[in-house]
Amino acid sequence: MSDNETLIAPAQTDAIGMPPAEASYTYQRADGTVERAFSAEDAIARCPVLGRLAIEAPEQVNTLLELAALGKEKIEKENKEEPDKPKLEEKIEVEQEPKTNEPKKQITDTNTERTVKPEPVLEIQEHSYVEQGLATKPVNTATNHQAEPIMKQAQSEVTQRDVKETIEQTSNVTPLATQGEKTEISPSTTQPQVIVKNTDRRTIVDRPEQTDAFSHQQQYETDAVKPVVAELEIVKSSTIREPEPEIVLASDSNDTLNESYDESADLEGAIVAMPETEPTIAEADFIDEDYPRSELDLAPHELIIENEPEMADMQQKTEAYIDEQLRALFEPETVETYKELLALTAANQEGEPSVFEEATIVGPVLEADAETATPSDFEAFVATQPISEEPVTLEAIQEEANEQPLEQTLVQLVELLSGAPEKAEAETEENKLYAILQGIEDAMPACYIGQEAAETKPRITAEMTEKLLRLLRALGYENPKEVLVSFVARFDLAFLLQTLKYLCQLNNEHNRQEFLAVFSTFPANDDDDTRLRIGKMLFGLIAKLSPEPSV
Amino acid sequence: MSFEQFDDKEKEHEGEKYLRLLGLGHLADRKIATASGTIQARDFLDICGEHARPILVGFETMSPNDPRYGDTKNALRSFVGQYIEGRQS
Repeated sequence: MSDNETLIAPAQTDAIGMPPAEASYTYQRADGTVERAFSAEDAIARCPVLGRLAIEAPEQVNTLLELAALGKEKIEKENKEEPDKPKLEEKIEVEQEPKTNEPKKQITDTNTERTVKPEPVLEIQEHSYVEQGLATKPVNTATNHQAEPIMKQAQSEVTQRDVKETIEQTSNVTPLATQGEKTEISPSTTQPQVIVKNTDRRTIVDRPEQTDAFSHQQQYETDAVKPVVAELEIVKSSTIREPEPEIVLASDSNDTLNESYDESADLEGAIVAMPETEPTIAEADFIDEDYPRSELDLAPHELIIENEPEMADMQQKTEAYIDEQLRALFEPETVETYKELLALTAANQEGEPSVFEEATIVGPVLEADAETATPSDFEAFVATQPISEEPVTLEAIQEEANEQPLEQTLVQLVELLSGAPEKAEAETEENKLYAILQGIEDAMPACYIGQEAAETKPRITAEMTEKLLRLLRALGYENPKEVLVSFVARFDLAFLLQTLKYLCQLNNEHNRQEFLAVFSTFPANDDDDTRLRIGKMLFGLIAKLSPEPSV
Repeated sequence: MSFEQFDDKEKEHEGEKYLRLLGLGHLADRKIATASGTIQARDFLDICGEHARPILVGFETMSPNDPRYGDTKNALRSFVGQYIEGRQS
């Protein structure tokens, strides 16, 4: 695998429908390395398995990213549905804990018994205590990790005396082979706790429920970081390779994290963790200074978020990288259109007025204004449009395209598709159009997120944007970008996709003939405008066909 | 369900399930070397779970009728297969 140096082909974070901020997350591998990713794309690129893939076609990258997005969504959904089910992270943690047949001794420090019973996490972690023979009770540290930093609460609960007493009590415990110890402070949103495990790592975990990062080691989140990247977690890790560290204690002293670690250095083999003050970045660095990075099997410095400016810088770099990859895959016009559509749909989803709402509308809107012309069903919309008496040709559409709004052109395209003969093998303009529509149909599944129809959410992809621009060019539009953006601004993305879906159905030869039969029949509903239009047309036909009265 | 039960029946099976899905079930028992020691191939998600797992979960839900299914399966099969083969201890 490592011999294959062909880097992953470029892809788009946006293709998975997540803006960069939402896509940001930090993750940690089971082998102790800590990394972060601002996007699934980044995650794939860093993955030891997937990060060095030799991907032949760029489309394959998009497919993998789509699958990653779908999978991530499904995992999150499953985690929500099954909150009691331990996460992979937790499974990994326990799996790595050593199995021993040595008699287990329990250590109970009554001074530190402030047990809180969290649901899912505690269940697993308590098991770890039993398994490791360490019955030290977890310390109730905080009920809300965001409002009350865990370090501060824990600070007031355990004393230095507790530390020493516990060290004495645990001095009789048989060390567990070559394993180190693991200290975990895990303030979940509901039941934060301090956990002592006998593994080879120390962990400070601040894990909100929605966080799915796999964390075995120190992880905490600072409020200062949140405004910049909402779901970004800061992970600090330190894998300790000392042979027999065995004691984990809580301290309520006012010592800083720094001092606590200093003391732990004085107590040979013992590690005193759980300082109760939230360490600064510098202090956190100091932890790493105690244990040289090279010995701790840590991720490189550049992979660990140090401070806010660095995160912002990293985010900018990631966005620049994404932009670069997009531009490598698509034409500049496609990229610009895609970004505009993304911004537009994002604004619509947030309920904010679209920046494009007041944009110049190309050509007059069909009969009704934009609001009334936004039907929930494109077929109903088509049915309300007048039918031209003469057969629609592609040439006619191309000639009129720049003089009329896109919706009218699409109606003409519907007529063209519904009345078109079967595809000939010759390479005609029409066949090129059909091929474009086929391409749109192929790209359509990626434009819907969600497995069940009721939960699918429309989204735009760069690939679909490219195909749409090609379609509009084929229909004769000179400024397809403006036309497309204007259309989505006046209607919405869901309507656009619905329209495309309908056109793709018509593009199918069978459906095209089927539509021909349906389309000639006017819908019988209570729409007075339709009735009036039909009546006018019938009177026109009667007057036209009836013989002139003889004088 | 105790943790051991969960660990044995669900976690290991997940990796093995994806191996089988990719037609690599025969590699599940292979030993592969990682930074933290030797593991079985079925536990490959321990190493790259955060990366590969969403993709594999997504692939699991992918319809075999999807025109991209075959290529995607071959690609993932190749990637995971190479990874396991290249790290056999």
